[in-house]
Amino acid sequence: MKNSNKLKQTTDRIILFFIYLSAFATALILVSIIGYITYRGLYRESRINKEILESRNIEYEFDNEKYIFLVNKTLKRNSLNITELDQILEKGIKNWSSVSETRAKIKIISLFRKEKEINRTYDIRNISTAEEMIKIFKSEPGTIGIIPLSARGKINLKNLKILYLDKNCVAAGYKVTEIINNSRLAVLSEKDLVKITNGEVSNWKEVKGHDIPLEMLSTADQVAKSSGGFAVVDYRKAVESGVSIIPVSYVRKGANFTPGFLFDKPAKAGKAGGISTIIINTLFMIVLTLLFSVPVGVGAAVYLTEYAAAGKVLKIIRLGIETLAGIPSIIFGLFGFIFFVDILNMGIGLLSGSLTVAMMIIPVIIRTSEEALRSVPLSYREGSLALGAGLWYTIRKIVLPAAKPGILSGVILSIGRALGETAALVFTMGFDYRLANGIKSSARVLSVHLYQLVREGISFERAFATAFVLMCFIFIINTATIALVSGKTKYGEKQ
Amino acid sequence: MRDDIIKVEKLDLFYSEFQALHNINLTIPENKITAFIGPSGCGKSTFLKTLNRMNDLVEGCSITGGVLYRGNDIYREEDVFTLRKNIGMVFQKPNPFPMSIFDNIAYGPRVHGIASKNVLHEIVEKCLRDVALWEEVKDRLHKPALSLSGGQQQRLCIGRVLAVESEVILFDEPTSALDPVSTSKIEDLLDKLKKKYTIIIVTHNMQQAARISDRTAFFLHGRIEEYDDTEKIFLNPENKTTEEYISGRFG
Repeated sequence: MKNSNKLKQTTDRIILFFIYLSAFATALILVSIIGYITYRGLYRESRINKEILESRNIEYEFDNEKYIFLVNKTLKRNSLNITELDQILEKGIKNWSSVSETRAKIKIISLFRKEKEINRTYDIRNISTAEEMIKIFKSEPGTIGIIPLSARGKINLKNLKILYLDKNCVAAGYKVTEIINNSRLAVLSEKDLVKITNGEVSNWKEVKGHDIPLEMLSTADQVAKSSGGFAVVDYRKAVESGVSIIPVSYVRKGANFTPGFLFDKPAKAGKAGGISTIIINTLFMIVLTLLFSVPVGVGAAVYLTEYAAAGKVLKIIRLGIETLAGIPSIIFGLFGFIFFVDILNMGIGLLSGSLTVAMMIIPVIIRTSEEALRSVPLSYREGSLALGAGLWYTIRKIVLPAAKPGILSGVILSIGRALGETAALVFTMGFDYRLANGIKSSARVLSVHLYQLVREGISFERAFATAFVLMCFIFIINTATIALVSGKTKYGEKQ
Repeated sequence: MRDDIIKVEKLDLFYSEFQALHNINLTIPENKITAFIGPSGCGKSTFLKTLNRMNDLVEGCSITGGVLYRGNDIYREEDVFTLRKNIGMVFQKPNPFPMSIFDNIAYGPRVHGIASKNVLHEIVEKCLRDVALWEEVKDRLHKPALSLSGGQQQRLCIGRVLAVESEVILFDEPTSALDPVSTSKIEDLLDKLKKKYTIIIVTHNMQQAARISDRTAFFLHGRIEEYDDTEKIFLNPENKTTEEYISGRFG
């Protein structure tokens, strides 16, 4: 007898342990997911591989004379690499938007130059005074001003900055980048580069390369002839000599999420700019969806709870609603594509997308509204009817107001569902990230943007920032729901 | 009799297959309190509901026979709304609406088309005075009705019925959810109200029936066993089962 009691106690303890374990594990998993997304959304620590080093030179040499480049301080770029600069000078790149997040036409002017070669070669406008140059900078924000290094002190740099020029690269002997045993030195870390230039490395294997002695050289031609040579050389010369170039990986740290991300328009497929238009498109979609789904959903719930007589038809309707609520959203997407986009010929756009999402959340709204309506005491209805009120009057004045918090919380929860919807929208609302300019215009919403950023490998940083914004929206919505449900209604009891 | 406001003739009531009331015949005198007593499930509440057609809301409920209100058969009349206005009802559990005290009283008049604020205000004040609630709530008319105590809520519900100018008020065990003090207040109120209204009350509490009613009907198994002046029922019942019930031998 005693033994069996002991056994019971032990079993209870073991079961209790597992219950605790699962509860804590779930909490831990959720907290770490949310924490990770928040961390990655707010903070960026990414690696980028660059063939041209960030050497931060300021001079550009042309025909044995040194020049510096001035640009407006507002330009979102502090440096250019040598290939970008060549393209700009040769007018292959005409707008800053190709190489930065700023949208401005590039105009090149130069000062204190008279019929010198750089102007003739690249067709650059000559300016004679510093005042005139400042004026042009004001009227044309995308201006690049080229001045000789020697004239640096003569220009007031108040609203201007000196553009850094990156032009060097790491050249290595032919054996260093060979593939041996399926591996090769594909990239050097910034740390390793510093180690090498400080003379602390004598063999390539110390920097994750093959077992080849490292030879410090000074020109590209020397390196090209060596097997394990190393030199930091001018990129153009390295390309000319055909030496192997090893990219260097730089770690970028800093804020990933800036106010600009919320308020700027997206650009370059989402690589640049922010998500302002996408947020507004999302709001459009939510408003349209609610416009379609709330009247239908609440109306159906009123019919089912207040009017419909129990019977076979009601059972079938209920079954239909339950089934609809469980159908995967991609199927709604397919249906929306065939029915709204194709058969009704609405095209891929806000209207088709919102209708599709509305179809998806109507069952949710019906179920929550039904619940809310059923929780309104029968005595309210009796009291009203006994005073000679009609059923519709009773529903309008007594039942719906009493059920309002419950209905609202259902609606808000379904907004959350609509916000996170992706699959149903890909076919029906499209990917256009510009501001929707009509009910039939294609519009990208936050979740679809996130999907695109990751699927096409556009930018993980931006994907995380978008995920963070989406998560904040859901958080706000959930908080509002809790406030609504737990808060007192105006004249009612606590719900 | 000229004083009879309601006359019930050969009333049978069925819930689907089950017959809940058998051959009910009785008349209700005007400006009197009529009490229905009987054990649980005897059909007294069901019968009360047939008087203002609240049983319409029960699925599968059907009746035969007639209920005459001022000579008209209420089950032949189309206008159930006017009927329920004339024959109001107060329920077992206080059921004020989740609105302000003012809106609760004004609800009925609004249903019947009164929109003027001044008129509504007069009605609210008069009704609250009639149910002796005015002094207690006059400073918080716009507070939620659900913040009142149970007894106050029940008086509010009575006031709500008075506001639609009913002639008959049906009470379905109005004090069974209340404490003794609130109960006695309601009983005093009923006594006052009978000057202007005809009152029909279903009660489990036989002392209550004896205290306040003028006529008493004893229901058993869906039939009226005895219906007479209250004094006679309680002091000198004709029927043996009535005597046994009243003296507490069953029920």
